[in-house]
Amino acid sequence: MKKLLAFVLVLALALTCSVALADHTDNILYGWTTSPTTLNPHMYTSTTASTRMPNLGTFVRQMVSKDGTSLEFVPEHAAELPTSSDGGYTWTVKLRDGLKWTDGTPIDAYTYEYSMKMLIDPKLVNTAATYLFDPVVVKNAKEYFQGTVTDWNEVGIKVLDANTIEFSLEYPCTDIDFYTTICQYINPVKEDLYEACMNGDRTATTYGTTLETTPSCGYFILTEWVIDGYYAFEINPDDPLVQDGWFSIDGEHDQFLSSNTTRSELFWNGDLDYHTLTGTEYDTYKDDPRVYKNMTSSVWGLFVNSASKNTAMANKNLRLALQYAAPREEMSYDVYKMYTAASYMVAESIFVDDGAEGTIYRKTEGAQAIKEKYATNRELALEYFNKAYEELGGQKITVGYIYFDQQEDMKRTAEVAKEIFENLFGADRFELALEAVLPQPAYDRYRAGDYDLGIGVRLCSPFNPWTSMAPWTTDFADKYITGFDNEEFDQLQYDCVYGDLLNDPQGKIEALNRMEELLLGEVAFIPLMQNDNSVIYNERIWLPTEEFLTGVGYGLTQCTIENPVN
Amino acid sequence: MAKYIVKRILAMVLTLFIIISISFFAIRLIPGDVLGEGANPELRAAMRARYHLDKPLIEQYVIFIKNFLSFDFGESINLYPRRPVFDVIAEKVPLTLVLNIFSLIITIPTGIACGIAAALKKNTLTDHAISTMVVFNVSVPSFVFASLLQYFLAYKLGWFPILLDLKAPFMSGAQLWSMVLPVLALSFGGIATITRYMRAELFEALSSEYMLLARAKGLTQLQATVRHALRNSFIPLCNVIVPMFMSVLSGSMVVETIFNIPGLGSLMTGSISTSDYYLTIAILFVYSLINLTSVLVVDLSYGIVDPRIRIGGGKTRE
Repeated sequence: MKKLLAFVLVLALALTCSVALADHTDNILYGWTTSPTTLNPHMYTSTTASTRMPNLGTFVRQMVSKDGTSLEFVPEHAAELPTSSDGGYTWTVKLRDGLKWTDGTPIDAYTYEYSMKMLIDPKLVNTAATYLFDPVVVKNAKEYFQGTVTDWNEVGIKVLDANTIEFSLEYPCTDIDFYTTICQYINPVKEDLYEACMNGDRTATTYGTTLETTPSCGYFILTEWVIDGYYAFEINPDDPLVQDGWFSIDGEHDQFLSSNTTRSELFWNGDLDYHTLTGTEYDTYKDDPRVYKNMTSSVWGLFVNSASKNTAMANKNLRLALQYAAPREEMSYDVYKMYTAASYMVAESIFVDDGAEGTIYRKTEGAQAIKEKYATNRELALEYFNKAYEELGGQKITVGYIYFDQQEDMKRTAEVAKEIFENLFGADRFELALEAVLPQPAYDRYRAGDYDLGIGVRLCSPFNPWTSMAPWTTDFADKYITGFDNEEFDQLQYDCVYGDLLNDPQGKIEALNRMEELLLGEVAFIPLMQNDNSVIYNERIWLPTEEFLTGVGYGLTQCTIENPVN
Repeated sequence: MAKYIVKRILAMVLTLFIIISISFFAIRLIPGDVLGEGANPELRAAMRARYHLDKPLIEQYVIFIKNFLSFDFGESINLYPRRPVFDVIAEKVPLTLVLNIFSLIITIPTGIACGIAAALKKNTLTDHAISTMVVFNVSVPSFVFASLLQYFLAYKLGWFPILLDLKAPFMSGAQLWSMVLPVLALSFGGIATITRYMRAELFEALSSEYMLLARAKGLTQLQATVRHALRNSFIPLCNVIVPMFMSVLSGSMVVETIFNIPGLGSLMTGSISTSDYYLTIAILFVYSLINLTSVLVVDLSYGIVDPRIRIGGGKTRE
């Protein structure tokens, strides 16, 4: 028995020693909550994959400038930043010489052309196809995708020579729109492998679904991949950005960890380099110098249905009362603790420069005025409510409030809203009727116009808030925000995205100001909070910037790693 | 016997067909869209056309059944886009299988041993200790065990890796060591179940008259227990142990999540939450097949464990 016990102990010791220790070399150790199940650039569906394709090169990358002060657009596969000679209708991308896949296969304009042809192939129905027609619209790309144009030569993508591609657009676009859409999201695919992975009727390809079918040509090389488990990259010495000294790390290891507790344990164990703080962890570490605030580009709030079958919602004074009484501070600082209270539509991180100058919309004078004008004001709210109460015949007013079911914080925000509204307006005069609905059915209810107030968010492009205003326009195809139809708003949105204001940065800022004013003035949406997260970094990580930069955040990939000396 | 098996298999096929059909309609009652909120309208339309979602539901069902009968089970829509659903499931099986087999290797002998010990030492300290363990194991969900084991043995004491080591080669020493905690977490519940059954059945057998006869014939307590009581106690245990063998493919969502195991467990919830219709139906089909097969195996195993039991309406000996 003693011998057996000794054998088991020795075996256990041997196994423990053979366990791979956490990699503390110059690799960034990431922990993601979702896992990409495909690294096919035409097909990715998860946020992790869509925001991170470091194994694939592209025309232009967004980087933290080398002095750490600003966002910089840096040509990667492009030889220089693409240019337009006719006010934004035609764009020319010149590629560098000597681009290649890691196996040495050359990459040129024809490689990119093949990739884009496959991207919008109508039989493949690729989910990333929209990058060629939304928001920047390449001539006939949408029609080719829909099968109404079948001749590839009619699509506005032409290879002029092995190093030059020309894009013809349906509407002009600005430099920043071109750099942040087509230049960022179009990646090459390796033609021979792509074809080999294609099924018989050419309706699907398994390209990018395993390590073997995922080639690399970006600043990282994919070296290991266990789907839903982890993947590892190492730096690609042949990549132009690497050669220009933009990176100092050896690579990165990404793990997919859906359990927040596990992520927390790994971080405090030194096995992850960053960790999002929540709950008590946030309270404990919020003042730690390693903590940084990640700014979101969207504002959460209440969709307001002024066309509800509850006719009280048509009363503008009632809507204004709700807007001014909204418990945004209580929700942000008491319930979620780390969020930012928002009395505006366009988030604080939104960039409005036609270049990388760094103008943040919320810092402009007009935007500041809106923030102040619609800030919480309970006295004013009561005034508006008293007027509404009188106009509605002095009867008790009941307003429905949909919040997301099975989310404890959401329930608490709803309860906070109920308490504040009813205490302020008087429980004998006002009732907020709470209803818990799962997120997807909630959005279905919004789409059907079957709600009074409903919590939710519309995502916003950090560089083009004007395109993100489309859901509020009258003819938007997937409209679920009912009761707001405004011709002036529609015209301004069109002018900024496709029309006269496109190349007028100041005009566009003023137009955005007006659009925000129209939405908030009509109380189509009651803004509540920006879900800005706080992240703590491992002390071995030295970030390239101390300031959150729209598009790149704190530039973790460009960090310097200083491992403790053993 | 053969006729009985054929009849049971035909009934299984019919049951599976009904399950698949109900799944097809039920899954579409879940709110949601294949592309989620905010998707481009043109893309949404193209996706709906690709998966026939723009057609009436009955027409979709006919297409689905036609494909299913020709062994075309469809492709994953969102979770593993464009990959055949059974390829996805097959990819998840090995890790789940290994973990669950290891768990069974611990669960069954431990459960049986504890059950025997408790029955033989009924109403002694041993029995009380084992019964307390059983109540504890049955009451505490596996995810609590998993979290506690991970927190104390891995995070605080550092004896084990916090996660399953996916970087190590499959079934290597490092990976096996990292499997210890999830395997333990998966085993506690099963040990309690088997112990409870074994204790009850064995105690009943020990008090029966044939045991008295066996002892009167000159067998020792150990010989009588092993030759007679244990064998009889195993018949009801088949109901528990055989489905455990069959469920090795099913995985455990929570334990897999905690230890970062890319197995079958989380596939079902992932496919439902992303409205991945064909993947969801395929998983339901696999689970149903496992369960129906396990019921059949349980029934057939009675005859093996106790030859007195005849299955299929065969004639009994005069």
